[in-house]
Amino acid sequence: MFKSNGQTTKVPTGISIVDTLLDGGMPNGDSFLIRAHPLADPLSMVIEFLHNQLKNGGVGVFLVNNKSPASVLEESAILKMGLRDFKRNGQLFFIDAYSALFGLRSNEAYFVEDPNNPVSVSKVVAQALSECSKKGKVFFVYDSLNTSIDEFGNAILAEANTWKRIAIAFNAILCFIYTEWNYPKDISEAVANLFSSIVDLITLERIVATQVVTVSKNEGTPVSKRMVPIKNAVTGGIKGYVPKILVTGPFHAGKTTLVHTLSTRAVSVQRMGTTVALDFGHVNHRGFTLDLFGTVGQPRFDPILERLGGEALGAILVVDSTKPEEFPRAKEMMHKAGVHGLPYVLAANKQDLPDALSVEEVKKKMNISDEVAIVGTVGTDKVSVVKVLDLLLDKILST
Amino acid sequence: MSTKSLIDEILRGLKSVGGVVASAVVTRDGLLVSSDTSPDVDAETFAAMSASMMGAAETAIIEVKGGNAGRVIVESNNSKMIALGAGPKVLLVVLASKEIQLGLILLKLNDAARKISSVVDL
Repeated sequence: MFKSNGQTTKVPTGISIVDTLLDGGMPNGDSFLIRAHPLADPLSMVIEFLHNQLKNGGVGVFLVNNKSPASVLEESAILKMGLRDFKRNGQLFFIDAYSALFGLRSNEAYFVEDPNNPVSVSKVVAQALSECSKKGKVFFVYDSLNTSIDEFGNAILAEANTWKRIAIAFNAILCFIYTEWNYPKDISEAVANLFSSIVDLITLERIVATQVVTVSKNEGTPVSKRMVPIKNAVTGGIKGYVPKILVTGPFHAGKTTLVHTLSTRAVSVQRMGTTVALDFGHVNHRGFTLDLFGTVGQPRFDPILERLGGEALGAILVVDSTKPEEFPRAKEMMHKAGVHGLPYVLAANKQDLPDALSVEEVKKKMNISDEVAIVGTVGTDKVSVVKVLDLLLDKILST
Repeated sequence: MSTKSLIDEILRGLKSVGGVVASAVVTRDGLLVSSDTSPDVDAETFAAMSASMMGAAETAIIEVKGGNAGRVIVESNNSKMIALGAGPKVLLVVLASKEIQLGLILLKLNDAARKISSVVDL
């Protein structure tokens, strides 16, 4: 937990890209909204938030009004962020506002007998929050606000105000799941006004990297943060997603070595010591998962370079610092791969060789503008190649 | 429904074709769109390699003036892998058991590829 701008303390969600967007984390003693497009999946993000708070010894309170508590537990097991044990050892409590809709009783800690009445929902929430706050720091999930709006209309928003006050009093964090169906403008605006922080989950109509996350309001101030594509890795939770970084450069510049040094897992199609099709590697870095596409250096493979260059978000151009005669070819490859104009970082590789040109000399010989970052690298030295990736990620995130 | 969920649906349909073990839709430049594979398969790597395989095959056959490559079939000791174009943007790649009748499965795959192509273009 750390201070931000001297006002509220922030509690990290544990998903690093979301924490970055929220300038540190969730507002302590406050409520925030996860506002999802109809096709987005807010539940898995909330489960990861909750799981992280419980792991740190917090107490969870989870209200369900459109699914059973059991289905939340099942979903958490699929995500490998199991909540069942936390429930068993008294760290997680459900508020069941669902079973009574079907005339069923519930074995959960809290049960809303009359879910069709906003006041009775509110009463149970208040009771659960005050009781559970005595056990520890509460992270409360309301799943979902729009089910309540469908049921009660604006009336539920007045109740939500009461809960916010309880959150302040008990220093709890309240997280509301809200799927933005086509509500009348006054309702969606009233919902947005109710919360001081809003995390948006958006789905884009394209075929890869379709889910993005952003924050449109932080501590009461509307903000316009960048949209970060996310991917829900089956193990390891939600990560920022950069589906393609092209690693290109002339024959024997050290592209394959660089891909393998950076990657947690990489495969290469190599014949007779050189790449013939593609190097492919996954990298986990700064809360992002990035996929590296290493191309083939020899000109005879250029047709494949042209086919595989598309849709890259950035490039790493690798040159052998001892072979200035290859530099024009390096620039040509950027063009052929169609990545010219994208953010890129130049790796002046093989700096460990005695006749390697210095970074400045490489830069001068290649006639590269000052905006392009250039790093002296040794392909097998992780520190130097991670620096390349670091700079590239900064560039991609700032465009 | 999103394009991706429609493609998911078409792949689910392919599962009912006897002998189909796994399937994926990937962009021609190697990004995974959707996959129906067992969880231990690294679908992104599979996507990248399938696209470069298809790209290499297309380039090779054009070089020898052999026409346009429609599909690539890989036969291994225990399975068959078939990659085929599904419109200008994406490929359909399927892993099937070795015993499968090629003629029958190709019929089903062409049908699925045609569906995927129209879904992607809409």
